[in-house]
Amino acid sequence: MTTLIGIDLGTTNSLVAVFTDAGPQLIPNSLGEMLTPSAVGYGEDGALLVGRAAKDRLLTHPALTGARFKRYMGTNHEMVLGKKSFRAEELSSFVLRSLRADAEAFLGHEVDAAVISVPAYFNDIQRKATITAAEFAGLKVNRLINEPTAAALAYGLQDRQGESTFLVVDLGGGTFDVSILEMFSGVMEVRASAGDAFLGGEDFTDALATELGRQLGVKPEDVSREDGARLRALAERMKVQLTEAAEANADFALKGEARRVTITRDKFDEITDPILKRLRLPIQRAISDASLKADDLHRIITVGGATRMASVRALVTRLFKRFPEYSIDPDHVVALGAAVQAGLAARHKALDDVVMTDVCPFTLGFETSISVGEGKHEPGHFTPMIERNTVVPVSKADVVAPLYPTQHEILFRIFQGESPYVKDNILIGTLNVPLRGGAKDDKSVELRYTYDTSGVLEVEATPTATKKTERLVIEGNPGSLPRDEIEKRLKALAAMKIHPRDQQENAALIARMRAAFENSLGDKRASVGRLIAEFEGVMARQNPREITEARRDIEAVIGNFERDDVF
Amino acid sequence: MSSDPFGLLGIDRATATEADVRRAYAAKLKVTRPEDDRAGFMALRTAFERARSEVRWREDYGDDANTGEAENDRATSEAAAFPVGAVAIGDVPLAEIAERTRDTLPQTTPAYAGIEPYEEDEPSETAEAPDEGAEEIHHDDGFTPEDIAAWQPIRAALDRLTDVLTATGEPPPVKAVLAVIDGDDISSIDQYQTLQAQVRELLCDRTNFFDSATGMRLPGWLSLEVFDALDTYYGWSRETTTIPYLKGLNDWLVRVRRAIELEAASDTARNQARLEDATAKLFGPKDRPAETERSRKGSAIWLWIGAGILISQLVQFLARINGGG
Repeated sequence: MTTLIGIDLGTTNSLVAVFTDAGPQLIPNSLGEMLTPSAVGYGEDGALLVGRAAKDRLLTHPALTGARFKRYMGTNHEMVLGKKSFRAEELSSFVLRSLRADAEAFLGHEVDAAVISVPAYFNDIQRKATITAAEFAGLKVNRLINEPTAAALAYGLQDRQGESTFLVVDLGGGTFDVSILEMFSGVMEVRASAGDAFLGGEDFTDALATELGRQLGVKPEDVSREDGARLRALAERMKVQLTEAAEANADFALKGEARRVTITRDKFDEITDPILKRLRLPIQRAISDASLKADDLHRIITVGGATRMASVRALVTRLFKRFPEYSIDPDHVVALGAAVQAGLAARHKALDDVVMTDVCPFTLGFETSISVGEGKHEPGHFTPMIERNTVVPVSKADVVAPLYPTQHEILFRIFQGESPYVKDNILIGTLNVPLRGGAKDDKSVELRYTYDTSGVLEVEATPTATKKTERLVIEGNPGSLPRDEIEKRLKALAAMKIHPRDQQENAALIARMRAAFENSLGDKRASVGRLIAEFEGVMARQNPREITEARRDIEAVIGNFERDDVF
Repeated sequence: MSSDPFGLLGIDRATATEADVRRAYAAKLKVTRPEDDRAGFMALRTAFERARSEVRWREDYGDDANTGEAENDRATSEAAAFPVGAVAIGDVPLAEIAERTRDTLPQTTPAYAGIEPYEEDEPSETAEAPDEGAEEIHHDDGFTPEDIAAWQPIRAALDRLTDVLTATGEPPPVKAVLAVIDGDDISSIDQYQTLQAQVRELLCDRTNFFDSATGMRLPGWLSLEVFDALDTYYGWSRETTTIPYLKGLNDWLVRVRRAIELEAASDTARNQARLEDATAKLFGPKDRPAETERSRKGSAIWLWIGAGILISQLVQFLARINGGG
């Protein structure tokens, strides 16, 4: 049996971990870092780079590099890198492949299956896209685990026989989740989850980048792609600085001159207030769904890098009248929890007294017409089959009759969402059920929804008369890939050249130096330029030992240039 | 689901406490894991939820209460999810309130008319906590000083909101409305929730939800902007809820919004909308072809094709008989 790994496939960073006898353990990448930036790009030699190297090249080669593609999971949006365009599943698969290689190097054997975390509020299409991404990377998904649930697993393991109710606030790079969990007698039970699949730390960065652009007197559409990428990277850096300091300053190199930008924490809070406000509704809904009050919660846990922001912490503190805990690194906790789930799935003996149950965070149902009198019907109404926050796996059936006895088919349109009107919910598939017989025959259909532990839905319809079951075919719907297309892309991806793992370090260093070059002016810029030339000279001689030494020397000094104010 | 949930859990129905039910469930769960035994888990989970609601019901309302488990299952969970003392409840069990339809509601008084700290009538989830027994909050109409104190800021905010909304009879600026509901004194999640429920009731009351005889009324201050600001902040129209009373309120607000929209439209636009409404009623909605419509049209054709096939088969059959004979 091979080892099951746990993966946190994040919007900004991704991590891989494994469950060992000593508990969950993070696996470092080829650079020795736990966080692999979720960035992919073409290198100088036309091979693909993943992680830090790609992230740094985002500044110097934005047209060849892509990041934040998790936001496009489950859509048909394609990102163009160089001459080729990629779907989010494909770009994610490169990150997964890189993590898989790190795990294989660490464990010393092949890995072909994983537990992958997804935002609790990821819909059915986004979940299936994540499974496709794993397939592209040669990984079988043992289970998708909701990110806040994973975080709770990591925390819950610390006190596994305790009885407590806790709330997890998970603000990642691109998504926001809230979950309420209850622990008793080794059972970790998710009581309720709510969230927003399009709300995260990156939105705060975007808001700050816009503000910096305003200070510089440039509009986002007017700046070059390179300058835009650098401005955004500067915004990212200043956002991080503001978690510690009340004010951040920097010089931004624009058209060859250094221009001063300043942001105070108050100003940052002011411009990001509309984003911050969106956090409250999901929190409120989770608590209300779990029928709890703030006092019933024993622990408030914050997860995800974006919860480091002072304004987010202040909001959580104000809402619950106490300070949230974050004893496990908010960037690491989800991956650690995914590894715990991998340990549970592999029946690790250290976990035989722990069971976790999760819920389906959305309501799932179908479209119906309701009578509006005089034999007229109004379509567009949403009829729930599985209510949100039902414990999964769950299977629910209902008998549905056609509107008119003469109908020859029923078209079930399957939706997910909380609005009573389907127009406001997400269409996740359609199911066309042919009906036999005449007007007097029984034309009722048993509709069955089955929701598995990964949060993937299966819908079956069985006409009472024929007993012939129809299964939901998601394919052909917006945002999902048909099977034959998956096979085709799988072949194309297998042929792609990926930068060898043992040379990632060199590629990353070069990308880092080039980014520093772009971000500096004058003498310092010239110095960085000399460093690059020097390292490229060493690389050309292909002496591994010399390369390692040069790398070490450069890494020791490059930080000085990066700390510089000019960006 | 006729099997005995207590039997499946292996505990005595008559004496089991909620803690017993949870312990039994936890023990069985270790050997009936959701990922390994889906069907077994689903049966166990159903048994657990039913046994738990029966026990909770008994603990809340005593043995003499109707313990028909199928009804209790739903009623108790609804009562437990009932977030605020939305109506003057008195001694009526919450379950019954939850079951009430909109038609019976006019007899009740909206909560904001009087002090109704919601903690009083809500079956407490804290009964699950190990320190159970310490709670004694059901059927108790007395307010503790803490309740009153907790209620003060809500009451004050609600009064201020009413002032802002109704001061001139004209729609107030959205900023002024948000300044009240998003003020610093309403900062905790509990306060936010309580005020949310109160504002919803205020809106419903001022649009005549509680007086079914006179129908909907739109006060002059309720502009589309004001409505949307409140609805965006609290999310009523985007929520589904299984609690009939709250669903009634939310559905009403969706209708209110439609009415404001229609009101706000110019006369021509309004007439146009009415015309479209009427045509939609006559010919079915035009924006989305309902599957039922389509199938119906199709069915007429299929009927003829079917008849045609039948006739041709009959002709062939007769021909064969004739030929054979």
